[in-house]
Amino acid sequence: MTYTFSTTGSHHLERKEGSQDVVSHQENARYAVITLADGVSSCTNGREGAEVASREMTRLLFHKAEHFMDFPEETVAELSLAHIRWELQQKADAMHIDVKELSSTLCSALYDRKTRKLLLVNLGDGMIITGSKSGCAVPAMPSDSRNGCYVTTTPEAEKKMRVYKMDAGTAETIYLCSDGAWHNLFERSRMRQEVQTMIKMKRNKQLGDYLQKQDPFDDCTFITMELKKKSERNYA
Amino acid sequence: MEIRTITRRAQSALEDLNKEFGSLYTRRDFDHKLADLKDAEGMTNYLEVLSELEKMMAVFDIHPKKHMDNAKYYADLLRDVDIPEYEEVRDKMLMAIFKKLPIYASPQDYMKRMVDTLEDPKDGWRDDPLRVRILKQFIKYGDYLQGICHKNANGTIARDIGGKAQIVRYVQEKIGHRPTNQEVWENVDDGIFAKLEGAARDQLRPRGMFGLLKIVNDLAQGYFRMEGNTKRALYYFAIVYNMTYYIGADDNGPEVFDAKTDVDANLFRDYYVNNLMRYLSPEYRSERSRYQADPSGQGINYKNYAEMVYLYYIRKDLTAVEKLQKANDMINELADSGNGGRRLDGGTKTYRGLVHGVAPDGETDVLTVMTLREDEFKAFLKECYDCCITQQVTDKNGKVTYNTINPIQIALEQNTAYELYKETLQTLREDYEITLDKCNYGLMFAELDEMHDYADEFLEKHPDITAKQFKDYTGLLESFDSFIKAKAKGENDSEEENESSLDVKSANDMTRTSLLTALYYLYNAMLEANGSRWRNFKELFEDFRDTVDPQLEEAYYQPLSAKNIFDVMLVFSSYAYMNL
Repeated sequence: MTYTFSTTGSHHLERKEGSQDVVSHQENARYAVITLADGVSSCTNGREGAEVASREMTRLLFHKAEHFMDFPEETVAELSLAHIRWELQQKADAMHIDVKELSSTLCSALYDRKTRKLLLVNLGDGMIITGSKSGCAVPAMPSDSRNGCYVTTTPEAEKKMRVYKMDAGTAETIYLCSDGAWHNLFERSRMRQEVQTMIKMKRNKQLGDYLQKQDPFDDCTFITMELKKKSERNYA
Repeated sequence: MEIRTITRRAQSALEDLNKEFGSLYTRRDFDHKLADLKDAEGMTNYLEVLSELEKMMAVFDIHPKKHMDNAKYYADLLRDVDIPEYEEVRDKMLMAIFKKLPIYASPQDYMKRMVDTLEDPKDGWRDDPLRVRILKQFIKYGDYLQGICHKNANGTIARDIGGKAQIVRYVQEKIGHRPTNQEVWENVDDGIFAKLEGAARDQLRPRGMFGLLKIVNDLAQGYFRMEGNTKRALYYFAIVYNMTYYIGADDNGPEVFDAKTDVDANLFRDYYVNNLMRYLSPEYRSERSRYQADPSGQGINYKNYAEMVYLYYIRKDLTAVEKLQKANDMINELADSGNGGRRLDGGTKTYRGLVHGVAPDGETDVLTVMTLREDEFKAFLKECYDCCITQQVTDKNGKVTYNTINPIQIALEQNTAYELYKETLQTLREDYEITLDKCNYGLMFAELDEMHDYADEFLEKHPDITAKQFKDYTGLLESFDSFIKAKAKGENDSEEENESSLDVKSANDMTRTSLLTALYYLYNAMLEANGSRWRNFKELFEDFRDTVDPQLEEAYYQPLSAKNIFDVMLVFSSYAYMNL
């Protein structure tokens, strides 16, 4: 089960632009995938690029879930980015634009309900948060954007894509957050206490309302899914 | 998502230089490549070298027949082609750096970026001059730094930062009555800084009547002062702007590295470095002897107890005034207490590990001292840090005196960096027979002695450049040149010679610039000795970076950066050295 919150930042509203954040998800009895891509604002077609990246990443991880769970981290990065870049190039050719105009960040989580394993992928300044009864954790930090973020079209971005394999453990929910969202969930470098409570209690609508009240400057999006374990017969 | 403007501009400048000099070949570049091709005949790398040569030829619109397998064919083909000589390229190099200057951020640019990011927009100060915005922040959130004080021997409290009375008086004269605190920050304006002009030196010291104004002015302009005063001011700045310091602790919920507010990244990596752009400021040039020529470049000194206290309170959930007071009190309480100057083994690595939760053997998940309770933290500092601010000095007649130093000047030595520096000079001497006094050719892409004579010709060729711009540029090149030249033996100690980064007498004098400059001479010597295959600027920049970064990182300095004009000019100079 997933829940999505997304609002366009005042920066884009003032320019009469839509949100550059795009989410997608796909699931069956055993596997579930959620993805969030954030189009680069300075690109003319960041939104379109984010749509391709989000859709294709979800599709690839979902249909090849079994393989991706077994691949080494480097292979996950190389294969997924190669696939997305190929799709982006097709789109760029069709639109007669430079593929760089389709740049976006990429954040994805693949969950295996049978084994309770997670595969997390993060390229750029998105953040992945897990929530459990005992608190919150950040298994995938945003990259340091002081030297510029690597995005889907950056040469050798696969070397900077961070891939994590982990057990869900006690985590009950997982959140993918765009930079606009997590900046509002944190006060300076600390997660706000009220946010921690909402995540622990799985109050997703309240979390969305909270973000909306912050009147965010940047687009603000999160997608979350519950990390439930299915019984054997459900995926047999 | 966004990429911050200064970083993006610097990246694009480097890419432009790469593009321009990746294809700017001289006759000598071709001679080298043809020699490589001849050497490679019959070898497995022949096609690789040939492919490189063909790419170079394509720049001159020469397209040889494919699969010619001897170097002579290519040499004949190139003989009558009009390929520039090095002197022509040098003029272009001079221009290339000049044209890129506006792209490089000055210390003021970095300061403005921080203030833009950290200031509360609700305060509505964005349209004020930068130094006025900083002053207002110090008044409103830091209470004029009144909490920075010490107790005299007779028990009275003495303020360590002066200036409140002058600021209040200025506003009182402006509005006609004694102002409330709020009226001060609402009414103070840039005119207050006129008081600094003509003020006596004592009045400008931190405790002097214009202390706070001077601190704010220096922060805004990027002027770094001696005796640890700038570093202390940077911590005050970090506190009044509620900056963060990331260690990855989860004692109070998840913590994230926030690049926009992090003290280390913004104050110590971007701002407080040897930024040559300050030489374009007339005030800096006229009064440079009063300023610190070259900050260490190491950023946070983890061996210094006062810096640890500041970091500890920066992380606390307190108001700025509380943080300033508590930090001040703990620093004063610990001064001259404790273990008599004993230090832990392992230097910076050990001390940094204590903060970041890493044991000397590399084991992570060790408890960080930053999450200790205040009393525990104080006891820990007392036990493990040198807190001696009173230092015994014996003169040549054996007379003993005692000096009190700024706590932030304790444990300044950078032993790892100094060892690497000495090793570099030793390699130069033993492997390449280059002694320190021969490391004095300095800047290689301009003949500075001839620059003034060359001015007329240069300005005629480039009518869009004014004589003043050219003069400022020459001044910047001279400063860079003096930094990277070893001090000549027997010459008088003029100010400029004192700025040589190779004048390192002890681990206390060590700076990033010094190590990088020594590595520059070693790199050039290696290129020369090996008859290196590196030929164009892009290749050279990458090779230089791969060579120096491991050493810089081992010394806890930041790696080679395209954002730092010193770094870019150094590599450019290497490129010129190779082509001479």
